[in-house]
Amino acid sequence: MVYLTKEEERMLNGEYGPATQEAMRILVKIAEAYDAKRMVQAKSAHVAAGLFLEEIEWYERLLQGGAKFRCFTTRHPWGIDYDHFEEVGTLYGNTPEIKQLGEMIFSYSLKMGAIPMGTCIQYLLGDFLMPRDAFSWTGSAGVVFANSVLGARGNMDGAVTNYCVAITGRIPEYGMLLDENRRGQVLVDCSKIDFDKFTDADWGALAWHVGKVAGDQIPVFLGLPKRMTLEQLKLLASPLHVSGAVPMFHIPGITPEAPSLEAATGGDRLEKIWVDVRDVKAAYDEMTTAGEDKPDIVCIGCPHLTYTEIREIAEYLEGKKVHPDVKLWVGTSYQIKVIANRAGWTEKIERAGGLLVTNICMGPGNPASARGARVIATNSPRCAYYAPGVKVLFGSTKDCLEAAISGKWRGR
Amino acid sequence: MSIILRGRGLVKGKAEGEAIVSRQPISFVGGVDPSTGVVIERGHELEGQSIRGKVLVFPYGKGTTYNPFALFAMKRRGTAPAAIINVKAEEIVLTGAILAEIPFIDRLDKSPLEVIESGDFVRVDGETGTVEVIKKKKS
Repeated sequence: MVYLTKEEERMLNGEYGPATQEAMRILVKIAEAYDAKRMVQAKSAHVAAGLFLEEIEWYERLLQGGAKFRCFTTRHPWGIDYDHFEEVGTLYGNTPEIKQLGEMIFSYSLKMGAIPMGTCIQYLLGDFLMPRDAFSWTGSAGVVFANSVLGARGNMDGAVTNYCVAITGRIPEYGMLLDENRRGQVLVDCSKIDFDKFTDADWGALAWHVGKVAGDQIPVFLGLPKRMTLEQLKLLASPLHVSGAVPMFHIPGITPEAPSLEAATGGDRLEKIWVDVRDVKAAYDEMTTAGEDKPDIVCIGCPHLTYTEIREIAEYLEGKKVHPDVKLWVGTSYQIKVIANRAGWTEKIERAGGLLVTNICMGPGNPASARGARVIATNSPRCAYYAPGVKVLFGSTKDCLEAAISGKWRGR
Repeated sequence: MSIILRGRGLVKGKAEGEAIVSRQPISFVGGVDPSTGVVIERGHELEGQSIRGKVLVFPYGKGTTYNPFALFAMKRRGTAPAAIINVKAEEIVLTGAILAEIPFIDRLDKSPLEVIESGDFVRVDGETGTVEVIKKKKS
């Protein structure tokens, strides 16, 4: 049985109202299923909603039962780009009724106390985690990043669990919250790769391959560049739980709990997998499903883009024009767009004919197919895998932007 | 003849029905049509078969964090399985079963993937964690 503090007992007994009671009951069940010994304080929750209309019943019940988020909670994108709703829309349409419905579903998490960030890179925008902080986040790319780069501790929790954690402020202690489950389990040696020539898409393709070979094991990367950028780490984290079921990785010298290889492995001798450029190329081939070379849309922004990435795109597009047969969507969070507006990047992108879209997920739920796109060009394995109803051209941001301008794909 | 299996009941409730067994993990989002209960994942061993109203036996869940809501939506649309038996519970299918109030059992004393075959008649008691299997007649 899981040990509960007096306050947790009170939650379970209904003293904080029916919503807290239901949430604590679910968490106790999870604790029981995983033989967790206790609950720990949650530092952060990240919630999503809106794939099924039936969800509304649950949110209504929680709200009526007094649900108020007890820990810092941020909201995943809810799919409404307030600056371009008609042009971008949702996967389910771009009518005012659909927008209203989306707003209504969004409003539940807002009423419960979520910070309406509308992004998957909440860790860059004030959802601040430090080593050992426990979290429950929707979006596997963020979970892998927070476990591996920030040293925070979270499982691949489902959407229901994210709400239960937010409402109670507690997380059952099991899995990635425990030291013994966080050690590296397989070595991934990349020292044959020349990273000087690596593009953003190469990082994603490498991670795609590693996810496949690592399965559900925790990889320890060897032979990566000594210094890595935020963007490279983000791209490395994003596909690992799409092609595989990898909850975190170690990079000795970068991952907080792995100052050395020995710390990453706990001193165990591990199997070593070599990865080279042929594996990276094979991942490109696997993701490229389109036979034609004319994309209808270029989607860059899965995960959402950082200041640096947007600035590079804006500078590339300055003085150029997007081909009339191609749409260009560059995706980020609204906070970053405010800065992009001030810096003049938004204007450069939009004057060229692209859109800087916000609050949109370009992976599952990508609305491109609903706007008529059949062939999508992207630099993101996650977008390539999840974007519904489209064929994919996979290449670097530069390949994608060149195709947006010329109308023709010249990537690998 | 009937076989009794004992395991861990994680979601209470009694249910019975025809078994449908998958050796592969199942994703309810994208893997099953929520309006019909038919498995639609390409290449899945249950592709084209309905899980509606059946006792669904599979090793464990896979796929997106949205799976709990898919099970909940299926329950409301009348397309959900009557009960779920997993080899080993994981949090995503478990929370879906809790929300949808679908009896759910795991950690049986014998592997349900070996004892239970599609077409067997199965009674599940989520309170006691007991599963009664009545083997279909061999034709």
